[in-house]
Amino acid sequence: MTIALIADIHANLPALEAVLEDIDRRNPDQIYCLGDLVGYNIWPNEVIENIRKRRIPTIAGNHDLKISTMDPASEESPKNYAYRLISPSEKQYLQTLPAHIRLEFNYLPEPLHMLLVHGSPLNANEYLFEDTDEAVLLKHLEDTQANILCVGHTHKPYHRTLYTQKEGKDQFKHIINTGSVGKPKDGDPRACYVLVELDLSTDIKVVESLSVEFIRVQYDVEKAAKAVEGSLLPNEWANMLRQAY
Amino acid sequence: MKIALFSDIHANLPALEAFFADLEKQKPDAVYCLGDLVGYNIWPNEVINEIRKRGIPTIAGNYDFGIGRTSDDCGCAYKTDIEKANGAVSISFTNEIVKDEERRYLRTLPAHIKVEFQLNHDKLNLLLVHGSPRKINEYLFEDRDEKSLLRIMEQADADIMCFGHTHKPYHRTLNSGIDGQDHFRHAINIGSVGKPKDGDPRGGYVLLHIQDDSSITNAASIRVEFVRFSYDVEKAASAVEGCRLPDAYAEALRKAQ
Repeated sequence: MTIALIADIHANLPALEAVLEDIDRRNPDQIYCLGDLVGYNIWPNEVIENIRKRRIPTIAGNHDLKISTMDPASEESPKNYAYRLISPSEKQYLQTLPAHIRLEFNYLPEPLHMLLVHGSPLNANEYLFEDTDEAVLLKHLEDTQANILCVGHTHKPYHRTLYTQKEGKDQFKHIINTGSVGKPKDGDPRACYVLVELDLSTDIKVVESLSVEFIRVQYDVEKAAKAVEGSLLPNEWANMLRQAY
Repeated sequence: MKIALFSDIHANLPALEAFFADLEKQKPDAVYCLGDLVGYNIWPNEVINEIRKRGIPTIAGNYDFGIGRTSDDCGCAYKTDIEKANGAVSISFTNEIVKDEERRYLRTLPAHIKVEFQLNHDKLNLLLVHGSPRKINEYLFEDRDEKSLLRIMEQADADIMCFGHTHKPYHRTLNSGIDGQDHFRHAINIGSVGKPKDGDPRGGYVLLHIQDDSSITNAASIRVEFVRFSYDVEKAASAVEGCRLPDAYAEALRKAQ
């Protein structure tokens, strides 16, 4: 079973289109989106339409949640132009997105739960970085009874394995950060997503039995950057796309 | 948000194709498949591949579990000797024609998917299972004792529980609130795409409507729509008659038994 995870598209339509094309070529068995469809660029409606049309199960990111609580006065700022673009029907969609999706694989050698969240299980706005304290990560995994925790939000992809013991037996837990489709911050401007592969040999006791592959996809960065510069949005955001910071 | 839920296709490709055509009209925002892709007809590989191709999140049904492991037991509760004999033909026939790659897919399907909503700071858990949260082949019929149904949902922390397996659609709303505080839970059997047993031979599935004010305290805030669609039943029934599967399965399709 190959599962594709995408996240943090941030209204970048050229990046999303390139990633979906790449996904179609690789033909994964299931696709999920870990949120943040909007903000930072001019195509929020097109991105939402694309995700809805393909019926990709999607959870709410902090930017997706922001639009329902936004103070009308703050909407005037150039930064918030990205949210003002969102049409009422797409806003409705964002407002009913779930917070988490949990996949329970009970028929592997050992039952295994894969939890998809945007930031952390507690908060769509919490950053789980590659160097986040191990105790913090382990607590999240234990509190949610997840063996594999998939997150986005930081825009910096990584796969970290954590060793733990349960009832005297070795066990590995995994944290997978999917990276960002439309706004990478790891110095590589190409779009990023992840393929996770589980099969009958996938075992929580064997660290290498879970295959995690990060895919980078070329897309028309200049088109996305110019769209920012041609809009009311801050010009610096265009450079962030070009240089991936 | 409009969520389409379908299951129990049972290798019936004409029904699955008609279902996909109907989805194009309904335009849901997400689609989940609650298992039992194979058994009882001639197109198990085609059904698996149509679902895989679309990347539809799918959980395992009891028949998928059996075929995934090349088992001769599908976990079905056959009552009579004739049913048992027919069932044995169906599982051996299916084991014979399902290809390796497709079998591998069935083997690694998840058992459950839980979609956790947090609307208006309230928790609302949508749990998808094939039979019940406890057992892949437990039948939850409409006349199930209310206490038992509530206990199953409470133990699984499910506010909305969707399942298939019986091929008979229904929606029951139950209140598990205490001290006058309502807590409505919804038990939804989504019916069957490819082998209905409720007397209506058309394929069936469910559209679940979640709104920004959907909540456990308001039963009407969660809307469940049962959709029926016509398909070429005769094509599916003739396919059964044209192979070594028992003819009884063709009649069952025509009469929705």
